[in-house]
Amino acid sequence: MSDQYLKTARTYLWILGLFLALAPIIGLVNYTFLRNSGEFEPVDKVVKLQLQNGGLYFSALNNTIHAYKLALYRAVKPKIVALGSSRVWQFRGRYFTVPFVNLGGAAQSLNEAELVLRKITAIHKPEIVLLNLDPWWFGNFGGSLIGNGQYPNGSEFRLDLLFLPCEWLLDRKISIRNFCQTLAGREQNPFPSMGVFAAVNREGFYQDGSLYNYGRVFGLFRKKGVPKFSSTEHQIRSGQEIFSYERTINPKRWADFVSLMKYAKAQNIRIITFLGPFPAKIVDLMASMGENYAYIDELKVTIPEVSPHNYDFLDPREFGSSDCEFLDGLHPGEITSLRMLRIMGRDPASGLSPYLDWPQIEMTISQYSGKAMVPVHSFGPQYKEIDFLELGCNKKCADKPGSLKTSRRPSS
Amino acid sequence: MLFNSYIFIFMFLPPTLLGFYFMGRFGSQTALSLWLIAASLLFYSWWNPPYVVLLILSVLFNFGLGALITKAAARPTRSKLILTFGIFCNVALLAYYKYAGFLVNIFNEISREHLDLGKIFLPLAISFFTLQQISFLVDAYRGKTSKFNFLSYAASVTFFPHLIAGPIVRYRDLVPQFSQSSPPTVNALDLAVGFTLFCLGLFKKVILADHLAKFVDPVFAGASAGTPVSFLEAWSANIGFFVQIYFDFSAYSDMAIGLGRIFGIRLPVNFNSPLKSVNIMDFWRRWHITLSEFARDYLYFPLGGSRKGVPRQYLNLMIIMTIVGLWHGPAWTFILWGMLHGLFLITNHFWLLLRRSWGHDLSRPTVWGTWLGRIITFLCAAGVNALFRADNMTTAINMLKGLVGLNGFALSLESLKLLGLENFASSLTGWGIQVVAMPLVKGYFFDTLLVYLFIAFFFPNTQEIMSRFEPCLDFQLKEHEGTWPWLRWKPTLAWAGLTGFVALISVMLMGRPNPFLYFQF
Repeated sequence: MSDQYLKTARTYLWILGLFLALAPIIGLVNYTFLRNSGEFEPVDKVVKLQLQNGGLYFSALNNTIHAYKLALYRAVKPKIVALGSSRVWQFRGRYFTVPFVNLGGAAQSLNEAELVLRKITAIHKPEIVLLNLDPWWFGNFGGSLIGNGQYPNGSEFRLDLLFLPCEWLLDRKISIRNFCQTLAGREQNPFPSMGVFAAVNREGFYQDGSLYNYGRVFGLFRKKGVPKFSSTEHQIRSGQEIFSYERTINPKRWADFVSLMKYAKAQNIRIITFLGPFPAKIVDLMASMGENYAYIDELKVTIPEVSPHNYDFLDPREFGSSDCEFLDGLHPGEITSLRMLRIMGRDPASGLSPYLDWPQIEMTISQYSGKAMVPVHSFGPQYKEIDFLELGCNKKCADKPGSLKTSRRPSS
Repeated sequence: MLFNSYIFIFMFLPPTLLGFYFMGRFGSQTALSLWLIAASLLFYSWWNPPYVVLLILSVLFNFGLGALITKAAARPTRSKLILTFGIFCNVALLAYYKYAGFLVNIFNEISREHLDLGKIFLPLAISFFTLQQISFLVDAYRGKTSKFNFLSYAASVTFFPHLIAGPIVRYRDLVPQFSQSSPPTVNALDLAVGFTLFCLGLFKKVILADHLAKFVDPVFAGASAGTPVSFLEAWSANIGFFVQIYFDFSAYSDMAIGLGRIFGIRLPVNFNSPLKSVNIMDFWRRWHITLSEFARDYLYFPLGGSRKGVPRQYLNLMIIMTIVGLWHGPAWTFILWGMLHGLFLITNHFWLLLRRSWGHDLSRPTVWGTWLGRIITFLCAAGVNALFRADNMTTAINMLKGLVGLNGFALSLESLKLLGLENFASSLTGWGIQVVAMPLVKGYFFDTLLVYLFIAFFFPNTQEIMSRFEPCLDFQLKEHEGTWPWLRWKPTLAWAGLTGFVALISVMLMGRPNPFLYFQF
C-alpha cells in the first residue's frame, strides 16, 4: 500500500507546500500594510510628530493607549489631566487656558487609575485631575479589568500579530480598497493619521490625547455603527460584562478607591471625581431594572464621603444634555463633556475656573448644542455631522432650541 | 516554543527536518540521533535555558541507573535496590519542583508555622519526562529493555514532539524505533501523513478549542469573582470546558503524533473519541490513554489490581486515581477531581458486578443502553471538570453549587432564543418558571456548544480519519466506528487542497497563540 501511495504523496506534499508558502507571502504583504499605516512607530515618535503636525493616532495592532498617553504626558507636562476609561475621551485641551492632557483609556479600573497616577506624578505633578468614575469599577466586574501592568509601546514587531490584517479584512473591519491604498503608500485621509484604526476609521487621538470620531460622527467610515443604543441596551437587559447586576459595592474595589484618593491627597493633587453620564434612554432602562443596579445609588451617597469634589452627572437631562450629544450608549460626546466641564468650572470649590477658556466654552455649547463633536479647525470646515445613531436628531441646526438649559448639580 | 506558533512552524521545524533529512541521507544513525537530541534540547531550552541542564542530568542519571539495573539482572535484590533508589530520586525531583510549595502550605496550615521555600519555578514537562523515565527503570528491572544505547535512549526521551505534553512514551514504544538497524528516515508518505495530522491538530487547536475558550472563561472568571453561577451557566461552562480541553489536548496529541511521523517515528495514541465512551472505564481507555496505561501498568497492577479481591480492587482504584489527580497539579481541586473519578470507576465496576450477578449479557448492549451510558458518562466527566478548571476550591464550590442547582434553576433567555422560543418567555414566567438573562453566558455559547458536541459525538476522530496509514502505535479501528469511507484520508488532490486550506487558515488565524492547557501539567 505504501508504494501505491508514494507517488501521489509527493504531489500531495507539493500542493500542501504551495498553500503553506502562501502564508509568508501574505505575511509580507501584511507587514508592508502595517508599516505604511505607521503601526510600528514607537509612541514617543508618534507624540513628537503629532505635536509638530497634528493628525490623529490610534493603533489597531496593539493596545498602545497606556504607553501613548504617558508619552504625551511626558512631552506636554500638563497642569490638568482627564483620567478614566474611554468615557472621558471627549474632554479637549482647547477649552483650557493651561496645558491639558486627556489620559482617558489609560485606566480601566480603580487600581489602574492609581497606577497611572503614580506613574505621572513620578514624571511631573499635575495640579488638577478630572477623574471619571465608571460605576462598574466598584462592582464585581471591576475586578476583571485590573491591568496586568504590561503595556506595549507600539514599536515592537511581533510575528504573531502579522496576520491580524487578514482577520480585519474577513471581519470587514477594513475594506480591500483601504488595504490596497495603504499598501501602495497612498494617503487616504484628508488629514494625517497614524495607526490602522486612525487611517481606516478616521478615528484617533489628537495632540491633546482626546479622541476625534471623524469616521462615525461625520459619516466618513463606510461601515455603519450600531444604530441607537441597542448594543448597550442588550448588555443591560442581559446583565452582561460592565452592566452585570450588582446590588452592593464590592468592598475590595471600594478599598481601591480609598487608596487612590489617599495617594492623591498625600501628593497634594486635587482630584475632581464625577460619575459620567449615560444617554437618558439608558438611564431610564437601568432604573427600570429594579434592584439590579442598586449599587449605583449607593455610590452616589458614598463617593462624596471620600471625594469632597464630586459630581453626579449620570443623568444628562439634569444638566441640559440630550441623547443626540452622545456617541453611543456608553460614551458622552464633546458637548456633553463640555457641559460637565462648565458645571465643574462654575463651582468655586472645584478651583477649575481660572484654567478654563470661558468664552470658548460658552460659544461652543451655544453653537454646537445637540451635536456630538466639534471638528478640528485645522482639518477644515467641510465636515458635517450626521445622525449617526439614527435617533432622528436634527444635526443641521447650529443651535437646537431648548438644549442649552443647564442645571448645576454638584453632589458634594 | 508552542506547536501553534510561527517561530515553531516557520523557523524551527523546517531546518530541523532538513537537517534530519541530510543526516539520514549522508550521515549515520549516531549523527541522526545527535541531530534530533540537539534540536529537541533547543526546543526545550526556548522556554527556560537553564532547565535544559536538569533535563540532561535526568536523562544521564536514569540511563546510568537503567544500565546498572540491566547489569544486575542476575542479582534481584541489588537490581531492586537500584530501582527503588531510581524511583525515589525521580519522585523526589518531581516532588521538589511540583509539590514542595503545596506540602509546605499544608504544613504551615497544620503547624501554624510560616515556612517559606521561596518561588520554585516548575520546569516545563517535568511531569512527563519523569514518568517516562520511571517506566524505563521499571521496564529495565522487568527485563524488557534489551539492546539500548545512550543515544537512542536520549533521543527517545527528549524527542521534541512528545517532550512537553506527551503522549507519555515508554521504552517499548520509542527506543526500538531509534535503535533499529535502519534508522528513521524522511519518506514522502510519512511526511504526507505527518503533516496532515499536524494540520488537522492545528485546526482543532486554533479554530475549535481556542474559540470555545472565549465562552467558557467568562463563566469561570465570574465564579472566581464570587458571582453566583446558575444551573444552566454552570453546566454550559463545564460542558464547554470539557469539550474545549478535549479539542485542545487531543489537538496537541495529533500535532505531536504528526510531528513524530514526519520524522518517521510512530508515537502511541493518546485520545480515541473519549466523548463517545459508554462508561467511565471506557472513558479512561479513551482519554489520555498513555497516562491511563502508565497508571495501570506501573501503579494499579503492582498494587494488586483486581487479583486481591473486590474491596482491595476498589481501594487500588481510589489510590491510583488520587495519584493521577495529584499528578495534574499540586492542588486540592486536582486531588478531589481524581478521587471523584476513582469513585466513578468503583461505581462502574460495582454496577457491572451487579449486572453480572443478575445474569445480564454485557457483551450485547442495546442502542438505548449505549446512549444512556454515553450521556451519563459525559455528564459525570464534564461535571467534575469544574474542579479541574477552577483556580481554587472556592471557585470550584461555586461552580459545583451551580451544577446541582443551589444557585437557582432559572431558564436562560439565550437558550430560549436558541430554540426560537424567546417569545414564550413571558408566558413561562406567568407559569412560574423563571426566565432570566445569564450575565456570564456570552453571545452564541449554546449554539456553538451544540456544534462542538455534534462533532465530538458523531464525527470520526483524527486517527480514524488517518487509519488507512497506521498513524500511531496501538491504534486499531473498531469496525463500527469512524468508518465513513469518504472521510478516510488518502494522499489525493482533494485532500491536499482541503488540508492545505485548513493549514493556511489556521496559520493565518493563529494570531496570539494560546498555550495548550496541558502545558501546566
